[in-house]
Amino acid sequence: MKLRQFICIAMIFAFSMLCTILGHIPQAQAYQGLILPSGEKMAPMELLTLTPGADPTLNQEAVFIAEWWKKIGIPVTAKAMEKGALVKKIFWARDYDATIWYLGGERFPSYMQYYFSEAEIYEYGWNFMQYKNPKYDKLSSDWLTLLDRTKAQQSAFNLQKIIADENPQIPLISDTQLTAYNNTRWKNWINQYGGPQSFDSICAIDPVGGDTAKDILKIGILKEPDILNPLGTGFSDTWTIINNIYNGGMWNQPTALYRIAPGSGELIPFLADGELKYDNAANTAIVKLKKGIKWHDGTKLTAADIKFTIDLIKEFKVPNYKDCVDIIDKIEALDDYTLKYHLTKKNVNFYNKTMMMIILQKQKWSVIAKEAKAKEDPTKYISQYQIKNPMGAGPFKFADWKKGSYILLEKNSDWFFKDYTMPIGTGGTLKFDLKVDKILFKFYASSELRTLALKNGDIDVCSIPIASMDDFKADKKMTIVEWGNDWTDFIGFNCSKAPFNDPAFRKAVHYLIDKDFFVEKLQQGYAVPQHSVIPAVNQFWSDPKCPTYGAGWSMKKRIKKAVKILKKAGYTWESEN
Amino acid sequence: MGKYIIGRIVQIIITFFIVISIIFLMFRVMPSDPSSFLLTPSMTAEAKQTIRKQFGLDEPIAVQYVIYLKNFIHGDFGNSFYSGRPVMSIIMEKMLNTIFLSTTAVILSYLIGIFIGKAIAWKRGSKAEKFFVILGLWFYTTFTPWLGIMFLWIFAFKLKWFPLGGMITPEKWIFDPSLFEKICDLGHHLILPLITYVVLWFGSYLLLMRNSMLETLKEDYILTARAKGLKEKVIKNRHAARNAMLPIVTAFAISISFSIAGAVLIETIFSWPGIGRTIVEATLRQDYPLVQGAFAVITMVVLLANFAADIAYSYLDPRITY
Repeated sequence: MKLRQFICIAMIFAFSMLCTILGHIPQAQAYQGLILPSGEKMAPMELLTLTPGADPTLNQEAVFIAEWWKKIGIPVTAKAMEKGALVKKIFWARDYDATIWYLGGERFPSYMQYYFSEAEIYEYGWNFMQYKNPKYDKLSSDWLTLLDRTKAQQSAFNLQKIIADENPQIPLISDTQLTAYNNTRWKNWINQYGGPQSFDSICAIDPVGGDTAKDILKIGILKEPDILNPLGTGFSDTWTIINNIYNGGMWNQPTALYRIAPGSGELIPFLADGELKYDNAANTAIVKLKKGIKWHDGTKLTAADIKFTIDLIKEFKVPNYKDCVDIIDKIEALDDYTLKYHLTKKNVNFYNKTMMMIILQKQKWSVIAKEAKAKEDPTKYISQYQIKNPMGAGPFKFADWKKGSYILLEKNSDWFFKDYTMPIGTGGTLKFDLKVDKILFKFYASSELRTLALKNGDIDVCSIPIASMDDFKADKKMTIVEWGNDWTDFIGFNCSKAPFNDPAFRKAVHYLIDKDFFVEKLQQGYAVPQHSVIPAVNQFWSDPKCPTYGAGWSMKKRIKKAVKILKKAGYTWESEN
Repeated sequence: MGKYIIGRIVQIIITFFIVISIIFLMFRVMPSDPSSFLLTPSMTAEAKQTIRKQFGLDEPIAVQYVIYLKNFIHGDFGNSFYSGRPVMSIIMEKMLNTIFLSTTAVILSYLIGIFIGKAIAWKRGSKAEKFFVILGLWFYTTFTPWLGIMFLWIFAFKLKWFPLGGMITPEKWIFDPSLFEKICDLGHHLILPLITYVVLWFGSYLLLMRNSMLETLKEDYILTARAKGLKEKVIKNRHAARNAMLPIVTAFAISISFSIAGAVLIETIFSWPGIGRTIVEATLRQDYPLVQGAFAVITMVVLLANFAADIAYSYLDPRITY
């Protein structure tokens, strides 16, 4: 080796060593070595999160939060884990101090009850924070029995206030979904719950340039469904397809017998005719069904189908719908269009879940049920049954599924709700004019390819990444719709372990989190800071008055506040400047 | 020979057993649990346990392993965790798509590689040789996703000569086209991923053929052939190339068998619904039965292809006896 080469290599080596060493010198912090009120020095802890590949935002949030917490001497490091491993650690083993996770996705936020309930603390239970508050448990179970909407709303606000004060978890941000559509093909998209690709929107859009009945709405999706069985699938992409066949369903379109009015949270009759009649004393409910609703094969949809569906799910213990049927003791079909529900207990899940539940055709499913009964594991058989030709009563009929390429739905011209008007979230109404002749769901292996396909005119609508925003804004053919996501990120604490068992400590660390920074720097403004456990987009249930823990403050002011709280609670530091 | 074949079959069975055991263990030591992907927030704890039970995940590992082996012997790969469909039917469905793309591509790159390799070895030291060796090496070492995305960007997005991935144009297929139109459409979708594949792979055959050919050209019988006054073309094709082909035959047998495993990267970039993409997706969702089944089928094909190559070898080259 020549001398010059040797010097070069030596210099590169020395430089990289220097960088490594510099990186490991701890930054001088004003507060070092937090000492707990018990007198012990706080042990090093990990803030668990998902890998950058699985969720870059969640991952970055953890990194920043760890940096902020270090400023008051908390020995914390952010640790990324693969999703399944994280689930195991937090939900099952409960072996953690703090973790970043997400919740939401339900129009009626029943998770307010089970996420924080002491009854859910055992292994596999939902209360992985192990938060115990008998007062909260009492309030939240009462809340589930409140049938009066205004009272229920007030009660939900009280629950949110308790969580916001006690901080077993800290809501962070909820990102804004971006959907772009080709405005030279379809217009009058509805931007409400579920975004422009929702059931309501698809039934209301009109073709650009007059009535082109032959036209096909082309939607790009990333995950090809493997099964079109409404009992077995829990994937939201699959539900985007299934909704249109079955008149909605539990998941991203809570619509069936009734639907929830977006602003007021009231029930609006859909398949049902008129209001639900609830008998408080007997704990029974009478629901009337609209006459003339037909399945895709032309047969009538009657009370017998609904009774059959509930009995089927109860009998086979289908996991996805347990919440909906557990509260039903018995269901009777009084005549073809009248149903009588006998409830085991008073529970608003009846209003918010049972009434939004999928309805299956008795004629088709009784055959499947008979086959299932003969099997070793009937629940498994029925939830994984391969339905070749899904039978619904919705606006679109199943037409074709070419595995690996597309799913095609065709307009149901006899749809009962054609030309109906429905109230929408923004205040007005929409008309289900059903101008889409066919829906073609095309599958793409990556979101980059799907974005190119949208620009190329291969598809009409799809979600786009924030990185493509500028590109799409410059394109006159594209319109971007921003809509609120009903999921929120949060930090959950292990409330059974010091120091996170101390509400004062949890409150102090809440002050150190700058949610606006996440919105601006991680999401380029396409997110909303969340102060309540229920995302703000859920207008009716989310409390707008939850404390904001220093929104708009500088980090200096935040540190001062946190230190003040900690000092008051008896915390000290090894060194303090 | 008979003894050799029996020995090889025993060897294949043992290898297969070891491989499927490793596959089983590999997925069990992963730190997560497949049922975590199916759990939804509204599910009760009881429901969550029902799901784990359905998958047999509540059994101890040793029991799971015995069940696994027993099912394998009966040829039952189980049902996919994700869709509940029998694993075999999913594999067969995807396998056809993969064979259509990968196997065609392997054969094509093989033919191109051999042809050019033969020619440039004959013209050793020429500019053409340097050019092709560098070109082959360059493409062989190119980052696959980069090349795929560039091809898509240039030929599909900018020039619009080819479709943006996928296997068919749904807009054409839903109106029930004629068989001829279907074939044309498939072909149209095949070209871009096929070219990417061939461009990336022909280099390996080219270099292998060139090296083998150069070795052969040093042999005495080539000198003898020249001394006999045979034409250059005859020496090149009949004397040199035929002998140089031997190592390539083995390489080809192995490549063909591996081609059914699909080109993971190419299938993902071009949204090609083949076995490679299925394996990636199934691994990400921890769909054990599907991945196990796919790996087992691939293992079996590779083992059998190697076996076939060994047998074929002795016929091709009488100098080799077992």
